[in-house]
Amino acid sequence: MKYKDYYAILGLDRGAALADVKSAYRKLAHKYHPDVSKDPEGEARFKEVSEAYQTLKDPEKRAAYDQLGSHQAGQDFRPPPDWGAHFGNGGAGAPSFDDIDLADLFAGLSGGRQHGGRARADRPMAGRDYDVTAEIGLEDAYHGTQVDLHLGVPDYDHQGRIHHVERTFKARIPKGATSGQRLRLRGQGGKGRNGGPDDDLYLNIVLRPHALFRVDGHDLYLDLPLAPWEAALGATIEIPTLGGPVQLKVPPGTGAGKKMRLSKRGLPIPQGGEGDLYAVVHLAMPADVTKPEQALYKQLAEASTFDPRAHFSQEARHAG
Amino acid sequence: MQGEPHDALWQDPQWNDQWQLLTIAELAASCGLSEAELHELVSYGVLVPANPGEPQSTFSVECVFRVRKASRLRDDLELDTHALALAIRLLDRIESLEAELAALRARATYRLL
Repeated sequence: MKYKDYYAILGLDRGAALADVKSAYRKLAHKYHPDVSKDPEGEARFKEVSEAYQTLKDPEKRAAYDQLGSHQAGQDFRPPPDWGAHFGNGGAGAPSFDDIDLADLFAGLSGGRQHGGRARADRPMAGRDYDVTAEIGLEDAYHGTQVDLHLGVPDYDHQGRIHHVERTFKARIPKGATSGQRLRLRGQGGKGRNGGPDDDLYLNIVLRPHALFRVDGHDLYLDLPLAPWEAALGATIEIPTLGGPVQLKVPPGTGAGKKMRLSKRGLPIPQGGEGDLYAVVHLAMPADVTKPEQALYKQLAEASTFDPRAHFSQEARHAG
Repeated sequence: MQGEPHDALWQDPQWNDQWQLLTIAELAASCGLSEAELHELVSYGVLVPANPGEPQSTFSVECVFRVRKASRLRDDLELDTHALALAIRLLDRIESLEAELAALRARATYRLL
């Protein structure tokens, strides 16, 4: 069994008062709680902090923990020989501690309460629901996909001791999944205790940002750069879509900022139909303009009467 | 865990659709809050029944996720129901602002880098 230094995790001395334990936990929980924090390390950090707190806030568990002695964090160790007899595992002989996590050991202590603190150990109890986030690419959302989810779920051995087992789920994600959409896998979360119902696994879909397309609901947005002459003269342009390239006819005189709708080329909607794809025009200028090109621009400037800032002088007159 | 075979299950997930409704007892069972706490969240206005005003409240499946979050916050941050209601309200606001920002970014003429 690997040793974890619960005091160090909470930033406390071994003699810290209960009030200090609480206050240290709350400070860290505010910082790392995954429902509140944007810290990518938040979830893992919160798990550690919460595990330390669950043990140190309970005088009996804290005493049991202190009896384990002080070791280096991560160091392999075994509890003293009579440890189990003092702390609730009496009569179980010398249990093997090799494959037990420290947290599970304390969760199994007599009088130990489950997370949430309500359930009695002998009552049929639902397992704990799991939330898993699956990040999928836009192409996968368009075609539908299958994802492998790995998670540690609790299981109970014949002595009623809790173990964490890694399970892999293959979940089929139907086409048209969008960010924030939720799936539920019935009975695939934590295993119920004492005959309680197995719980559900909740899958939260998040779309990975795409290099070309931006997503708003089931609509997609694509920046469409046009050369000045394409915008002026019109052009037929090949546009990438998730279903393959299509030809888009750009009318002459298309200005920057114009949104061109490609109907039903967005993400499929699970209830039926498809979102739209919007190509948003912007004018791209070549970084280097060659001499002959400059001459053509000059010719154009001389021939044209176009004033792109006519409204400036109008507005100025109104203001005056 | 050592020695345990890994399960490889083929699952066809059920889509939670917004038309599926739960009673308050079902919601309590799936979320770990008591019915009394759920009634209190309703009275604070952070949990809105799908059929307001009717004697037997029903809730959309979307509520499951909100209430599960509430349940985690209650347990992990040791909040009372009043503080919990405030936290949920503020988290809701952050979520809707983030959604609005994401939509505006998507529709922006030029990509905001």
